[in-house]
Amino acid sequence: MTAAKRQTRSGAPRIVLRLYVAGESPNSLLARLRLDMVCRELNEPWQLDVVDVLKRPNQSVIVTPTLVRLRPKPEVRMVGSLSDREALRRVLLSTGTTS
Amino acid sequence: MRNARKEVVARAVSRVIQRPTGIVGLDQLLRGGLPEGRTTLVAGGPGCGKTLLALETLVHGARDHDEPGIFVALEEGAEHVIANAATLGWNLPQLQKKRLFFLDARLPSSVIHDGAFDLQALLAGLDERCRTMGARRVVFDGINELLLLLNDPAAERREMYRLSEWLTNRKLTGIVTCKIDHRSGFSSERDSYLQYLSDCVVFLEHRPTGAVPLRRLRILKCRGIHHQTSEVPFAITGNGLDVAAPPLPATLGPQATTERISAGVARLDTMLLGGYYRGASILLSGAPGTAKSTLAAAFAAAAARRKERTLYVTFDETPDRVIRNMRSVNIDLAKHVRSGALRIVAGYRATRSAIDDVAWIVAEAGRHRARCLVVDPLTALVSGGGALIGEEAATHLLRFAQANGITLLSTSLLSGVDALGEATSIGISTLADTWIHLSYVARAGERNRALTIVKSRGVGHSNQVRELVLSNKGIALADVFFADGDVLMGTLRWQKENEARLVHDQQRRDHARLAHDAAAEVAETKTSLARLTQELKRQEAALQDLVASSERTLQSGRRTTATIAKMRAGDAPAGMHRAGTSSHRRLA
Repeated sequence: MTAAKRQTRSGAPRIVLRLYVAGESPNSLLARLRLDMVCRELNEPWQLDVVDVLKRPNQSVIVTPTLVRLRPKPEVRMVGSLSDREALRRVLLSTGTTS
Repeated sequence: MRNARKEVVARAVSRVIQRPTGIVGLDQLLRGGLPEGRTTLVAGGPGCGKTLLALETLVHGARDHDEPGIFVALEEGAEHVIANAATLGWNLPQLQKKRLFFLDARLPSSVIHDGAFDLQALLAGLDERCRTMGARRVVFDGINELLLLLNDPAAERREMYRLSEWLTNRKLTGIVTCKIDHRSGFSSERDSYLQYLSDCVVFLEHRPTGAVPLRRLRILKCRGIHHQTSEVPFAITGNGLDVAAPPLPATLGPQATTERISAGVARLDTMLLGGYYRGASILLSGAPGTAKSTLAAAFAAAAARRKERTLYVTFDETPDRVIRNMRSVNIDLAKHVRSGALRIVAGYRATRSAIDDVAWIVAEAGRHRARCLVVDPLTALVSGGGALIGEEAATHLLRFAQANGITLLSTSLLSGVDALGEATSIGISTLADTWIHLSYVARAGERNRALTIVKSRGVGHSNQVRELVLSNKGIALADVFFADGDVLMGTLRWQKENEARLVHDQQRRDHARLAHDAAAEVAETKTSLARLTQELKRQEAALQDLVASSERTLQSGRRTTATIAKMRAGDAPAGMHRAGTSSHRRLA
């Protein structure tokens, strides 16, 4: 597991994310970059794990990159290089139905 | 870079290793099997059997060739696929323990798509799975779904290429199933790259023809393998796919034997110089009621008596009725059924395609390990999809029988009574080795059955007609009677035979009489001869006497003359001068 970005305050952050990437492939790099940018624009802490499936294959992940929003519930999955910033923001911030 | 290029060239030049699919007929079309380390595309419309074909390849690989496999379900869920295949008797749960793995790789509908993605995660996961399982075959079922999501032709191509490369690098035998509109085929640009990318493309089609569905398969291409290109029908049976591929010449079964087996009627065996050839195909044709089934049953009974396993397939009757009908001509089929040598099965008519029927017959024959096979009537196949399909199916059945050394006897319905000029309705007569035609001859208020051997390959046969007589004692063949250039049967025959017998008797008597007369003459002549011989002897004796007495007379005359001369001592008669001189001297 590569380094996780944390912003420690009191307790765990509201937003917990896991990004599955395939090494340094273009889509994966783009996704990481974009996710990073959008997350920084949030006014709250977030937790992100980046998992490289080439090193740690995961049976439930079919395509890369796959972003899983573990918190807040319910769990939401997004696939792709996250080119639509607005959609990504909505997903990160939404608390109920999927967008 | 140079090394990579060298490797590519080397790969291209090396011989393609083929992995058998285990599907009946498909390996024949491929002349071995699917190419290892390459992508095979199985394309077709919905419901045409792509998933089944792919799955069956995995099953056979896992079960029969020690090649575990992974089924990646991209469209239809894994449980669904397993449930559908449950009726096929593959025992998937058993295989799933170690040799077969189902991966449900569908993206749930709740997943949000945002941007481009690739299949590396899937392949990474499969990598690990392949390592632990030792998998050699991988199926990607329903690739369209995934590619559709990419929504980018360039990306589609890239991912398909990635998949293909992955399979090659790991030397796996890969099958990708893909939905294709059967009407347009691969014409759409979107889909045509799939065809170019794959090394082997199998195209399946499912065409409803009237009430009966028709399934066809064709190998569009297979790089590196000299495959058969014809489009062939196939059926989905209780065991999987059954592809009706024409057999390769080298595999046409055992060499032609010269063994003969009984046709069930002694005189027919004689006409055939011993019987039917083992492993030959025999056709009995004729109008309804001409006793084709009876002859077929006689053949089956004879085979069963020889303790050879025989399968009797009937499309017209139930097995019980067949047994009952044959009992009336003294053929006891029930006994053979009980002993297990004979099995009678009834087929359906017209509810499924001819090739399905044939696949079923083949399966039954295999199950019974039949050496002899009767199909009554074979023309039932015509109703399942039309004449052309029926002919294909019949040919397939014939080839199956030939390849396995099974003697096949089929009956064929002909619509006309004068049928020697007609071809049989499914053209099978050119393929059969022996063709016997049964017909009615109607005359003088009677109908009698005639049997003709129309042709018999490799067998010298009498080209004459015989009358087929059925009675409660069994089947018999009787000579027909020729009179005035006509063939007579039945009571007319009996009449004529009677007449002939009378004439013959009369002739015999005449001969006897003549012989008697001649003998009498001979005796008479002999007597005359004896008498005349006697006469001859007598006359000869008389002649002798006459000759002898005249001799004596002459002799005594001479003596008398000589004596007188002596007594006179005088002048000897002139003739005696010299002789007399000496005697004269003596006297002086």
